[in-house]
Amino acid sequence: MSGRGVARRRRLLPRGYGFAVAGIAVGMAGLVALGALADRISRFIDGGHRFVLGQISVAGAGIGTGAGFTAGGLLRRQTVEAIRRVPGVAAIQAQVMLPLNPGTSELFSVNQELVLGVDLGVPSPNRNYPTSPIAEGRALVSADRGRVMLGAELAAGRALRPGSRLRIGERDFEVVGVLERLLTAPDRFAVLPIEDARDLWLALDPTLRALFGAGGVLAREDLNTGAAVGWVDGVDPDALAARIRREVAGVNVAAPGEVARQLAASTAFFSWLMAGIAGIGLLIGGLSLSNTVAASTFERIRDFGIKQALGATDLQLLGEVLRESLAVSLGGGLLGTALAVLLGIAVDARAARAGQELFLFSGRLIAFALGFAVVLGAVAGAYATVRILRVPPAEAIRRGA
Amino acid sequence: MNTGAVLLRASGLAKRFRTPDGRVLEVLRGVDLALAPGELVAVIGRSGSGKSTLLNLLGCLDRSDGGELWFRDQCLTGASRRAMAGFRGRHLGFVFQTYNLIPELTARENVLLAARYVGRARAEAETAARDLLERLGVWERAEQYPPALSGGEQQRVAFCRAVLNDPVVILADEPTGNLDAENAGVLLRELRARSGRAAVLLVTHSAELARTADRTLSLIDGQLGEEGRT
Repeated sequence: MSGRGVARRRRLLPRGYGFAVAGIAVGMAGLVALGALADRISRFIDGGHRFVLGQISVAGAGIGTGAGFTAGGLLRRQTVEAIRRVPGVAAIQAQVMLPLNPGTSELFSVNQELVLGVDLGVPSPNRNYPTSPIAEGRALVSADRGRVMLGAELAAGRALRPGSRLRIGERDFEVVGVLERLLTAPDRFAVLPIEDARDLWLALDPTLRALFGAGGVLAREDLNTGAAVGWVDGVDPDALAARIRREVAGVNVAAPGEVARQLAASTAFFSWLMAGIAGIGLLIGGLSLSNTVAASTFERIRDFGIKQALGATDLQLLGEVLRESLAVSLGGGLLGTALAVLLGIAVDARAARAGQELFLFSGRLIAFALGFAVVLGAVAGAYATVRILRVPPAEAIRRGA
Repeated sequence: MNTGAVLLRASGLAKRFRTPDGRVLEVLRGVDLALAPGELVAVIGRSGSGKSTLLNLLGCLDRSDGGELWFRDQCLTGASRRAMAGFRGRHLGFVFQTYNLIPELTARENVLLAARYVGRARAEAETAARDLLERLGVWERAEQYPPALSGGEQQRVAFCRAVLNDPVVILADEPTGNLDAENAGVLLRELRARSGRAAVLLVTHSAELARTADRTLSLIDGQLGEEGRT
């Protein structure tokens, strides 16, 4: 026999553990895929929070006809000016928010597509989104008319790119830019100049059109569904919202804290769904992994007896099992994660045609899944070893024969 | 040939088993035995007479229900698990009838396993393993996994593993039971050679094999009796 043949062969995984690794991989794929789904929902909810927490949203008093995050009537120009003068207000940006498809405006939908008309002459007061993060094309400028900037999901769902045209109401708009995917509400926005949005609103709403045409009752600058208010550094936004409410008549003010609570209540279903998905993922992955590792250890009861006959101590055997469990769990975890990511990419590629993204494979999720696999694998292997070591070596050899 | 002090001594060893229907079966009832270095002792008896049970107790692979077991001046009865592991690893070689090689390890790795648990230097163990495998004629098969080996080859590998650490006590349970005449002859010669410096106890139901031993003991009704001395 050649010396080369005798050279110690290094194996990535212990021999004979192929099925164990495959079994663990299936469970871990389930855990990672369900975790990625839960993460996506969680990020969606957090994204909504991030958007509304970055500004104080204000609308006029009364029942609104808009479709924004505030409920209320028109926010007229003099009211906007009154809010601007409240101490602590850094900036206010008048807005018009409408459903992109008015036919769905009465349906609650977390995926509702919205038209957001913004006063481009004023910097964005949203502290979390001070500028528009552009992925393609350019941002809107104050001189733009008949042009639109699209959220990532809206653009992907309709296969729109800079240069494409989007029909809103009875008008065609030129797409000048697509926003980065923010995993939040603006992903489904069509952002356009407020003057264009006012035109769309008038075209959509006969009552408003009649009122506007009455002469002298409303000016174009009065046609706002709301406004985003930013605050000066160091000012408590909830306290400022309360102050606006006190000092400016005829407004509905949504303080960030209140909106966050409302969002939390309205998204409670999704939060529980997320918790349920994550829990099921942990259960499936955990049971699959611990059962596979423990079973593959129990299957080797004869080996334990033989090794004890050769002088192995309990600690040496425990160390061997822990090393093997680590390799097998990590191998299964990595394989399962790869399977889940491939599955997620395939599903998301299909979902992207509808502007959706179902999975979010974050580094945190993958690190957790691998850590979970390693720890649970070690615990399951150690448990099985301790049980086996209670059996005398002769009996262990006999049982495994 | 007895060349000195007793190495392994059993006194009044007893072992009982509970049958599935709840009866208590007394397999060994006060077995007395002394093994000295340099002697090859055969234990004969019918199938089910308790020969393997006796070997398991002597090899600390099972706990007795009564009696004492001594290795030199160390009482193994009631010794810690660690102490028993130390005895098995450093002083004992166990040859099983069914070889008991680990199928996921090559023949060479199976032999080296014996060195791993006693902290023996790898290079030295590698050399010793190669010497043994060459002498037993299975070095060419060293990188094969057990399922690829014949019964005779597996038993020779198992024997190499049992004696890698130069044990002073070798316990062999029907070591030639599954072998043809040629392989049985090889193994017996090796056992006989080893008995020059170690105590060898083999259990068998073969009268022919027993005749090659220095002493033959008979296990009847759970007790050992002297059959003969050569």
